Amino acid sequence: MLSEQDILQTLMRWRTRVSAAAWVVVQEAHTAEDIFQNVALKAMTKEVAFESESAVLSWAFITARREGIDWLRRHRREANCLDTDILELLEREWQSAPSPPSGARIEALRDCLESAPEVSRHLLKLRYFEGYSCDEVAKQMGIGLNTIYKRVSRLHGGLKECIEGKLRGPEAPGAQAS
Amino acid sequence: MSSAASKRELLLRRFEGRVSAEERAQVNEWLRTDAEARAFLRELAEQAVMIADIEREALGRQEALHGRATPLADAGRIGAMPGRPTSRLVMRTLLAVAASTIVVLAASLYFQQPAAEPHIAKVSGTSGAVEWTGDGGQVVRDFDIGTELSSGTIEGLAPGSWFELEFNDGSTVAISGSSMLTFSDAGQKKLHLKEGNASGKVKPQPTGKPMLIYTRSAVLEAQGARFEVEAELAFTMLNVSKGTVRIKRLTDGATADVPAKHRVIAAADREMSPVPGPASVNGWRSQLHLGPGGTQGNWSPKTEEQDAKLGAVPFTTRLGKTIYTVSFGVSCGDRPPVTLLPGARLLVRGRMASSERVFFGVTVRQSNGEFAGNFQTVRPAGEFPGGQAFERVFDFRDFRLDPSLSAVKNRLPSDPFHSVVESVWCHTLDKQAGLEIAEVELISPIEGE
Repeated sequence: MLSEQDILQTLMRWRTRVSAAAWVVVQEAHTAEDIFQNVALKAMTKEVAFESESAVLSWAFITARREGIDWLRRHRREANCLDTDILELLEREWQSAPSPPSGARIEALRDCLESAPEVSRHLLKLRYFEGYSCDEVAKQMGIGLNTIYKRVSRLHGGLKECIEGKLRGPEAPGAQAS
Repeated sequence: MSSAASKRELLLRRFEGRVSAEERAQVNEWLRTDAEARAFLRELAEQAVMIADIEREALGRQEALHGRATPLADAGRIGAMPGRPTSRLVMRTLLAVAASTIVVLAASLYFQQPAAEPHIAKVSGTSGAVEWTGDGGQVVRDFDIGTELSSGTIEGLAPGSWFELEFNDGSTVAISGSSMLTFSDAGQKKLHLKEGNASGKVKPQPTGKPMLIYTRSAVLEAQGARFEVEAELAFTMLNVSKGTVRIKRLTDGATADVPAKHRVIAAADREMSPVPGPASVNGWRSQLHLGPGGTQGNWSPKTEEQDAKLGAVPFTTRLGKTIYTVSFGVSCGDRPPVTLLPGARLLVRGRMASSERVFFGVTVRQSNGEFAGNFQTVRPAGEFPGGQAFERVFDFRDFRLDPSLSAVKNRLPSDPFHSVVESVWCHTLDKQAGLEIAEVELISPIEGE
């Protein structure tokens, strides 16, 4: 049986992915963070016991998903939720993908954001930190909605390349944000 | 536009509900069959939470630098959306920052394995959903009588919760219902009642070091006394049944010594002079049409179609069961205490969305404020047809002590009579059956009361 320390270490190491799984359900970063906190607290208050790290992760992803769906129900936003089989597929891939994201990944993203144009950083902050929809972001920035969707899509692609480039090394191609 | 790019844009639209039924089905199909589409979604989600992390961290740094919250100014600079609940967002952000900090701190403290805090008290009674959080962030929900505790915070999580701790000198303090109390004893007992009710039986304390009880609006000094205290946002009510308790109002520093069988209410708009405790009455009726004060549940105001009502809300007990409950405070605030007499009955008017077994109960205390038990009756689902209103009257002679109190039943009365009713509650167990209560009445056996 894993100790509380093992469980907590595992959850902290997988924090970004578990929070991201919650984000896919609720699409609000602060709520996803709240959900991760709840998952961690549940695990720490001995409501559950685990025999292996993979058992912790399976439980954490499922719990995060259920808490997310409960939150959607309370806020009457179930209509936008992805089907359960898709959510399960994403969770399986998250669990099986190599090495969980660590502090290095977030540091790489921080570097990438710093080198990105101010307008791009502003757009991402409005969308993911302030929690505005793309439509609201479009109105705030005085840009057409279609353009916002295109920019957001491109920005994520560019940041992915930039992060991967920085993780490979500073001289690697793609180590600059678009 | 490339096919991959258009897929990604459609996926973003799908998340915001800006797609037709056909497009929605198309996106679902992609996500089921196209690993690249799923990889994009996973990447997007990870970036979203990491961007929020980075911004939260930056916000925390700004606050640390300026010693104040800055996001309101930020929101103004970027131009808040009309109608956007900016302050709520700010609060959520700050809460999220705080929550992150708590988990990180809890984790780091845990790994540091700090020296064990000295035990200053032990659990002398408990019932219902309660939680103790130690100074090191450790959380315990399952207690045995006699469990030793160091300083920390005890919290009642549900209407019928009760928790009593006994300090090493024999002084006891108890909370009931949804209450939160932080306690410590580093030579002087200091309690912080954040909300709810507490009662105390305080042994003589060292000279110059009375037990201190802080609330939002007052600080109490107790020395060889029995008392109960209720902390609300705008006032603190103190009832003393033995000895004398000094109370100081925080707004202006006014003090009063409250002798036995007297009470005082410390509030900004009231004269702070002790008055004899009001005589008890034997009947009481809820007044939901006036508002949700003193209740727990999801309150809805009166409309043309329906009376004001209180909907059940979930609480998870320490045994992991979830109850869906509503609760009415009865003998609270400046109302007279309501004492149950033999022959008293409980009338409940409400509605159930689906048929389910319902627990009806009262939490009672002795006239000196000491906990006297939770008494309940469990009614079968057949008495509450789904989708229909109900009106039921129960005789308190049919109420039994909550089985979870069996460990302390020898020190509790065997029935609720001659005790003061603190609250009336009802709940369903494990199933949200849409319980709604429109009215509760404690019917006195004495006609006219």
